Amino acid sequence: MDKKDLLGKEIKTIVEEETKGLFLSDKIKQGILKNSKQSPFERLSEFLNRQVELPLLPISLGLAAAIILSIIPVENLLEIPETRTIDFGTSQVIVREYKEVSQK
Amino acid sequence: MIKNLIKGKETAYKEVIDLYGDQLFRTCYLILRDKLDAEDVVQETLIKVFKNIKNFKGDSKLYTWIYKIALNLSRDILRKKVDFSSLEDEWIGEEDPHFHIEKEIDKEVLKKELKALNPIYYEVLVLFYLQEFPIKEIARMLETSEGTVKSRLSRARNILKTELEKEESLIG
Repeated sequence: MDKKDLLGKEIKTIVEEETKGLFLSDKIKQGILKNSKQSPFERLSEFLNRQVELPLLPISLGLAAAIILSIIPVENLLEIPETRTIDFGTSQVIVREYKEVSQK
Repeated sequence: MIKNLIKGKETAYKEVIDLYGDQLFRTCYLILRDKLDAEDVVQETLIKVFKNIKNFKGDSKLYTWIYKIALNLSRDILRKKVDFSSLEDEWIGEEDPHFHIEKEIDKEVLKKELKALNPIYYEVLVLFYLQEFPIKEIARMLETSEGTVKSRLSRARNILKTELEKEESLIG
């Protein structure tokens, strides 16, 4: 498309002449600046509507751990060894799962 | 500048207004043929730009995005005045290459014919001749193909030439 042919040049001259001396007023510029600032409500709305990226893996692991803890008693998980004391005359034999024996 | 716009810095807003404000106003004025409407469109456009700058993906030039918003708003106003759908003329054709303007053009006749031109063609002429935007950018602004822009330009020029010839202001 030729911009520099006679018709093109004349069109350009006409549209330039028509808009010569046409500038955006200071009032409009101030209006734009004033209305471009976000109101507290808009800021809150933007905050509430923001996209949040959740780390899926840690969240899944945490959730799985919470479910397991709620189902299985903590004692079972920690495997607290059961002890049994046998009175043996003046002595006591403490029997643990690890079969450790201590003498009083 | 875009980073500062996202941060909401007023200096960046002023920079955009100084850079594009007047040209945008002239373009809108030519398309809408009304100063008040043009002012409203420019004001609304730039407020939209500043408030939604976070949505600017950077896949086009900033001015293309600004003009796209302004042209859409201008069309909304024009639609209230003119039936735009009837003007969606997908004319596919070439400008007559044998049709040359050899003598002086009667400027007054051309002015009159430009005013009478369908807005759909006139907006392309304004973007192409006043702003000297590349066809590719005009197509992006109007959300259409480059072929359609070229077609509208050819059609507009053909209409003007035909009308000028009718007025016997040229010799072809």
